[in-house]
Amino acid sequence: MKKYSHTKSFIFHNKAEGLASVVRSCVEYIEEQNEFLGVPVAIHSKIKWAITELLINGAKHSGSEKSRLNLNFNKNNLTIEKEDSGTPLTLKVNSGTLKLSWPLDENLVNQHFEVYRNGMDSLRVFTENKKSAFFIVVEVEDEEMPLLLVNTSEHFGLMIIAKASDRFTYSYEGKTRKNVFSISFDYQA
Amino acid sequence: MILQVNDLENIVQATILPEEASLANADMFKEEMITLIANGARLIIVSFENVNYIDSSFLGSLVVALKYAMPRKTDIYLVALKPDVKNLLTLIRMDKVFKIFTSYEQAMETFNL
Repeated sequence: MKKYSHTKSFIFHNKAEGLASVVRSCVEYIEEQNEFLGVPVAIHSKIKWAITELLINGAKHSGSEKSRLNLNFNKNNLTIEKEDSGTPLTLKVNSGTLKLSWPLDENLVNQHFEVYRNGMDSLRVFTENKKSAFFIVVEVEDEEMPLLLVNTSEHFGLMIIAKASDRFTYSYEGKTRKNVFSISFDYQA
Repeated sequence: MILQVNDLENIVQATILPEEASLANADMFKEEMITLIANGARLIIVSFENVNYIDSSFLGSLVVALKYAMPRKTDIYLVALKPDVKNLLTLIRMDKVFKIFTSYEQAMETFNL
């Protein structure tokens, strides 16, 4: 019998040396409890990639002592949230010509910006409002010189999450100074 | 040491030893690759036969090694990738910039053509 709408949380201390054990704990939990959780085996690898890249981002950039990782299991989807109270997200976009810092200025809301391009895919962020945004990947025309070898690779992690998942969002709550990255996997996608 | 190296006349077979190619060993891998290139390797065949898992940090080190190798006329081939590893490389289009082969022998056949 499957158990729907269930949350399991893990604490990550935002240090590289603890990363593998947290990822392993998440993966083992899903594998061991999957009779009840019902997460399709076909997306287990994608889930592991996404959790790893979220935690790498935390280890490199969070600026806080710890993050909470919430795995929210539902009947038709899994949402993974990473919460911390560290430094809000900043992104250099549009070939480094502009820097986005959360919370955003009003004039930067409701727009697309390019975060990274590898020659075939363009990773873009859409600013929904001053506090939240979502990432999408748009296929672009194949360029002769692989831009993968020109651009820096610091956004591989965001690209991996955006391509592996069905939704990838970021939000910043000013009052509580909480950053939340949220990744969703739809089981019937 | 993250690579087990077998160098035969500047054709280097470099086998990644850990099962997880990750943030924990990405910098060491990059340094060892750059040393092999700087020492005059013409071809480095990187074997992933032991690697069950790879992350963006390690992929970044692979790209840095390739960028260092290209102007020095060193080729880097990747061999023996397990499905999860290959799927992640393909996801972020790294299969477009690296030559990937199933085995060391297949890679050598191509190099000798």
